[in-house]
Amino acid sequence: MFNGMTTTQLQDILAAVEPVDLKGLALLRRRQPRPGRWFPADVSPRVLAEAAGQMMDYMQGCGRAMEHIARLRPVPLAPTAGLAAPVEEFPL
Amino acid sequence: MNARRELEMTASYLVRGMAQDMALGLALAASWLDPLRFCPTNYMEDLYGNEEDPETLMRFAVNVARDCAPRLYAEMVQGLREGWTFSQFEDAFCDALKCLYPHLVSFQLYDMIYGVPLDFCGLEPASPEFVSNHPKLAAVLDRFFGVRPLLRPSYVPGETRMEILEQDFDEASKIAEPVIQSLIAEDRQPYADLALLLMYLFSATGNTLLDYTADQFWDCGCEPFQWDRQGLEMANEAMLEARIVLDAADRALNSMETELDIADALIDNIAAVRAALERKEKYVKLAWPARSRNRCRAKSYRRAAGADAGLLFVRDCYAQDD
Repeated sequence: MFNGMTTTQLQDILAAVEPVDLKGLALLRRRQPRPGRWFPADVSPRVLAEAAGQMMDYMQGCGRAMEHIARLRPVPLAPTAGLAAPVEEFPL
Repeated sequence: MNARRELEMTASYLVRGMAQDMALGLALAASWLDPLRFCPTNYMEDLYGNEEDPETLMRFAVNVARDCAPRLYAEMVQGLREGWTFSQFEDAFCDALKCLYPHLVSFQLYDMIYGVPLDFCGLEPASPEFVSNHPKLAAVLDRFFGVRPLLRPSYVPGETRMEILEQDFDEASKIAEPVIQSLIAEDRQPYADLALLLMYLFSATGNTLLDYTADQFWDCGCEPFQWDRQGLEMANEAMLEARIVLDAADRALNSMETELDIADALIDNIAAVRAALERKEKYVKLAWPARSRNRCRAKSYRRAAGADAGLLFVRDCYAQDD
């Protein structure tokens, strides 16, 4: 899996991931809230329900991904594994 | 532009700016559409001790909506932002949940502490009230099984009541079992209805709502259905099944008055089973009058109605056990 990939490459890969097209975010950008309000009020119940459902699914998905990443085991940095990561020395 | 107007416009500018930034916009959208995400709390536990508090009840209901129906949740959140009163909220929530689960018993927010409401219809033939509360069913026990209510002294001095002896009823239950199996094996109406009548009478439907009274259910330590998607679906289906069985039992009671050949066959078959049990025989052959009614095509009892629903229910739930 980690056969020579650098952190920069990993960053590039993550940066290239397309943002999720969330209806709620699009609604916030498209519809202006009434003065003194924070959220758009003239959204039909059907559209609002779809956006809420999508947002809940998205956040659940993010939560699952976070849990998964938190459970990842550390990768041993052994030369035999083909990694060329420098192990820096720090003075005591 | 006065100061208040300027202040109000500030919120709009702020929202517009936040919405353009990916992270802030996402946070704003999440707090708009799923505010409960940011209030992690055990809403079940919150309810205990605060059953009379309208705010706790509404919070509980919104959490239930969030777990069970995102659309309903979005409606509830929007309504609360628009300033719904407790009464408006309660009406909207209970009506919407009833639309989603049409067989659910009507309820109010104050009832939610007791779990999903259930309508228990179980029978206790040996109880003092059975004969007066269910005269038609008591007549079935008397006419077909020879279980006759006896005149007994009431708890009220000087009064009497009709009561069925428990041992007579238990004996009738043993006889009913093979009769029910035989009726199920006929796989057509009106025998499915008759089977369901006997199963209901002898608390053998397998449906808790029909086999238990409310007192029996709570006394045996059963837990109520929880307010989650699974609990609501189970309650809805149990209520639907109960409705089908009770309708079938009603039809069977009527057909016992009009289709006398079947009523006579039931008496004969009960006598045959009684004799076989006395002789300790393992098998008994029962016969029913021929009926030319077509067998139902296979489809779910959940979408059928009337006699079809009764037969399909029997076929789905019991026929494979033959």
